Amino acid sequence: MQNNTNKENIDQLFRSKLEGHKVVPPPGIWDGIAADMDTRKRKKRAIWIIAFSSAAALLLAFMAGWYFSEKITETETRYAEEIKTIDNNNDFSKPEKAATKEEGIEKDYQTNELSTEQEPTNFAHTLKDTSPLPAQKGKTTPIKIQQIESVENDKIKGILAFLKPTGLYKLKSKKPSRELIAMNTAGFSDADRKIIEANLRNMPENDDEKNKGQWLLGIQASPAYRFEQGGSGTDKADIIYSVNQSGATPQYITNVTGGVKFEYRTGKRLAIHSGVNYGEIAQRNASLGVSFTGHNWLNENFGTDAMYSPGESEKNSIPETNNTVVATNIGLANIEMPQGTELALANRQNTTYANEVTRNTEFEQQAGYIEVPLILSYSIINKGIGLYVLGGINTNILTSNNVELVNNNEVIGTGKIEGLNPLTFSSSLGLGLNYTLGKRLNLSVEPTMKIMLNSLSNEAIYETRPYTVGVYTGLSYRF
Amino acid sequence: MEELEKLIEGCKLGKRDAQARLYRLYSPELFGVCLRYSRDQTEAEDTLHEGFMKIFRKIGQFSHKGSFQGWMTRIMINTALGKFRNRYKVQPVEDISAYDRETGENEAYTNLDTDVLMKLISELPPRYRMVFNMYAIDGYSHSEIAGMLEIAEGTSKSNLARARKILQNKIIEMGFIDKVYAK
Repeated sequence: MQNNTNKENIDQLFRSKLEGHKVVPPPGIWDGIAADMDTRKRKKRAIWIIAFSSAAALLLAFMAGWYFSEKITETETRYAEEIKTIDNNNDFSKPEKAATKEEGIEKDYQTNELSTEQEPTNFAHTLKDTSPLPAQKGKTTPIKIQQIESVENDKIKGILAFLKPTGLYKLKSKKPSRELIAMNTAGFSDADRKIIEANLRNMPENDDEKNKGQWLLGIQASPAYRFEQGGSGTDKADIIYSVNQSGATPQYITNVTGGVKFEYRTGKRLAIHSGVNYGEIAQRNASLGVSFTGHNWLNENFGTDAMYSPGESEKNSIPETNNTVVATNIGLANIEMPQGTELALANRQNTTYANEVTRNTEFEQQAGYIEVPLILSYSIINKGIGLYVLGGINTNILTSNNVELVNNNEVIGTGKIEGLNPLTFSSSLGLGLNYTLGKRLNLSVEPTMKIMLNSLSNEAIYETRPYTVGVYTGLSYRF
Repeated sequence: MEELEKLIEGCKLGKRDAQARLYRLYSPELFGVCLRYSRDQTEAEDTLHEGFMKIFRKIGQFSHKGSFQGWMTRIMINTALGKFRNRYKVQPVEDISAYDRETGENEAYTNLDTDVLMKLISELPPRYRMVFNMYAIDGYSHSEIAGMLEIAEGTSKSNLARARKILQNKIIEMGFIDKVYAK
């Protein structure tokens, strides 16, 4: 009890004396805090400046893109020209020959403004059907442009923005809509509205499409040149028959790959495409020897030469069913040989046995893949001919797997490659050129390199990751 | 009270004069808190500096619901605890005997009550100092302390008991105990 009281007393003593205890801190501390706050502010400001500058630079780049990529088309100037005709008919002050197109529009407009005040009904009528009005002489006074400028300047600017549908007003609204423009016509005179309406009617229909995403569906094909990346696993597998022992280097067969692709263009620059392609990784090894003297041929003829003679385990792996396992660049090929034949992979120029072996047998292996690409492309130039870079990942699904021994165009043995990965991935990197044929068709040529990211074989000793070079040519339809 | 709200609003807008006034008003009391939680004056000054930076940074989050001073005190305590935790990670072993040494000199305590008590607290092993401050003076419960210091509740209790024992012994040694209890 006494103990408890002591405890409480200790706590109480300290609490009563130290709770709210004030000690004035040394004077320098506030200066330090203030200085730190300033540094923080500066840092914050720097971040804002950087962010703002980046945003401004981006905006400028976009605006420059718009400015340079879009021209004022005939449609856009037509109404100004028509007005010019009307003015002439009405015998108003002759519009001066404009130095530039835009200046011409502006001056025509200013003239027009005055004429509508005098003859609003007629003018509106003229705009509806664009046949010229009969001459109405003596109804006007000469116009001084400066006078109108002061009163109508803002209005004219507004109209000019609408007259140039691909120009200024785009900057004001990301998604220009006819409704929006129609709503904004409040404050204009009747004649102004007529002009705006007329322009809206003639606004290019696909203007929206230009800014929205676009879908493309097409086909593409390419020759596939394949090469080995560095060494292959063959030599590591010298414990069994290896195609390399034949002396001939196995060659990848150049074949065609292709399929359908669909593409989504998110805007002017970025596009993503996918699809389904079919391709085959195939290898051929020519001039293999096949002995038709039975499966002991090798042993009998090469005796104790370990390099060319199967060891005990290999002997066991050559069973009575006459299956032969051969190491290839891609993996282990398991071939069912015809009875009474034997692969003779040795390439030794041994004249004694040369006649016994036919060396014109081809050994072909083929692995078929369905490829699902996921490619991102970024447009660098987009003027008539487009140039873009592309990159992405392909998922390859193994669909077929064959090994054939062909002798004089006759398949003498078939089999499979063992241990192929059912799923492999490759990366794509390429350049693309596209060209628009007509309104909806698009031709593209994409030199692309694909590098296998994982080995074709799931057996560690066959680390085979061929790379493929191709020129994908495609035709797609935009909708 | 209205004036305080104006001051807070000024600080929320980042006005330097408002910040300076707030500092002048509250720094003595908050420095007192910092000293209690610190080993020495330098550390307390660091805590005060860091704590005020946090206060100015986070003042926008203060909702006027509780006591503003309480809010600032909590920030200071948390800042001190943060420093303690960082240091404790590097120096997990405490030489308690170093703190058990005799205070020795019989200083002439002019303002005995507070100065001596502050000194006694600062001489406690760091974790004991934290626990004792939080429990005995700032009114945190053991479960709160356990959460804030990332220790077990039992550890908090035993640390408190050890801290009390040390303080009590020192007070007795210094011959102040009777005087203190008589008050």
